Amino acid sequence: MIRIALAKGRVSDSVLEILKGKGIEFGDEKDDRKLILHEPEGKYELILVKPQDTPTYVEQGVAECGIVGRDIVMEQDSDVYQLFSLEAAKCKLCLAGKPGGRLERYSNIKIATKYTSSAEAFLEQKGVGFELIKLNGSVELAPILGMSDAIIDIVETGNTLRANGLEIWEDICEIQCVFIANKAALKTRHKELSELISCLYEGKV
Amino acid sequence: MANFSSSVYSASVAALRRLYYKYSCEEAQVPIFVDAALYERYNALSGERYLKAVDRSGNVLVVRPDATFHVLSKTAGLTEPSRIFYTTELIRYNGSVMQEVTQTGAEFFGDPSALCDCEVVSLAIESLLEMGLTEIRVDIGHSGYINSLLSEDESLDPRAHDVINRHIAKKNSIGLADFFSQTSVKAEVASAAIEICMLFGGYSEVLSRAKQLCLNEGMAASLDNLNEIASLLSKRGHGDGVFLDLGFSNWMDYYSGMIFKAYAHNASREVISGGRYDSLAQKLGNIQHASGFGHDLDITLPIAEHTIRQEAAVKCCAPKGNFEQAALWADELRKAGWPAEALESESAAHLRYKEKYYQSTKEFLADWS
Repeated sequence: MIRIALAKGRVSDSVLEILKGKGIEFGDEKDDRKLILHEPEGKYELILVKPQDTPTYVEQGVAECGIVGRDIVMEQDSDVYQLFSLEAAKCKLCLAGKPGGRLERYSNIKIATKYTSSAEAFLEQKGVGFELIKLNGSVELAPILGMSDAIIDIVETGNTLRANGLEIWEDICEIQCVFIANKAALKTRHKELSELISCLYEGKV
Repeated sequence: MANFSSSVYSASVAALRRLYYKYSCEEAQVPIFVDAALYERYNALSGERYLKAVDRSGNVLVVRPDATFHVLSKTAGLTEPSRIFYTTELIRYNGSVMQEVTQTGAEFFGDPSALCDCEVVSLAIESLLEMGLTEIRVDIGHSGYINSLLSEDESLDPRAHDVINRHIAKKNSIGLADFFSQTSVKAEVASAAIEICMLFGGYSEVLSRAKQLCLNEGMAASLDNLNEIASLLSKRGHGDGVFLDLGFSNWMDYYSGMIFKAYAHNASREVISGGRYDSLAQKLGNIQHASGFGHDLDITLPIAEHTIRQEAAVKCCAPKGNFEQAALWADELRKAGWPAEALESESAAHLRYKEKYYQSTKEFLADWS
């Protein structure tokens, strides 16, 4: 039996649909209070966990694999394999600010973000001086109130940015769901895991 | 808090010590402190993960977060081939939490041969078998394979090498593709690097594909070296459990040749990591060649709790007032190599022993009594 840790919410909604499309159904998925779902054939068990905790369950080997937003994996740098992305819960990580702004105009830029690791990697690669302000939500407020020059945040439709008078300056990367695996399980449970991987991923594994 | 009993620790360490001796290894003490500047310059562990101390002269020291590095710092300038082993506690930070890690391992110095690497891997496998672990799988790779691939593109600077190695180490082909899309790396290097992320599995199949991906002699030479080691392992009877993983990357520039990891049933991560680290040994210990491994006892000991044969002390118990008799029995056993305790008791009149014992101890006792 392979245990899959699945990030609750946006990711789990999309992934359960994908799994269903591949013939993997969990009878009790309609009961949203249940945290453990069983597949009737007994091959898979789903545990529904907080998105930020998904890599931890996999890293610790409680679950052999997991599916979580790439933003979480990029931010946490967990010791898991990040094998491939799924076409689900797609959005992008962007640099955004007041209309007309550009990163190139700054020699030293002040950025508000929830995603400090990803922001740091991006800004270092751009070779620009920067100061990061960690916020946990409503990041759009920072440039509006003059606390930062810009923000780095997940953008799904762009509606929140537009509603607050901001625009995208630059796309940083696409954010989809990623399939992660415990490093030992990928080797010791390879046969069972490859069956699931082949089912979810069309490429060669 | 360690998740294993002291008796399983003692039994395992004793069993491993006997095995290491059979491989002609001598036990080394691992120094507690090394100079922090030296450590930070060469060691693979991130600075956030170790504990520092300051001596009376104000020198900053690192408190043993890694054994190999500390052993190297004490064996500098060694000219003759030698083999050492150690068992020690390491101090590491996991985030803000300080942890004590129990590690054992062996280091073979001064021998550049594939046979030496084969001996190192064999010892690693046998040490897991000795602890009663089952379904052992060993994956071997080579740092030269990826290094040689990256040398094909001179535009890749050390920072780019670091990013690429980090992504490959996590089999993160998505991150790698993102990175390549932002750089002007040669297309054949990029596509090979992305494929190498998942280039692991059965020996022949992976080797065959790895050969097709070779862009230069360095990559081919790495595969030849791996093939030689794998063939020797096969001759030693370890061929069935050996797989290839060309995605073991040399992140932080630690390894300079064969890299291997061992996995065991019920272990949540690799239980042994090792490989050849000639460059580090040259820089740090002025030793030309080094190959070895570290074995994470914090993972294997809880498993060995159910598998290792434990030598419980035989209780030699004589009736009250007859302690000499108990002592005589205990001494007989000790001379025969068994741990024994001499006791006297009002209730017990003869020998009794703990529930866990060697079958052979029992047979010996049957003869002896």
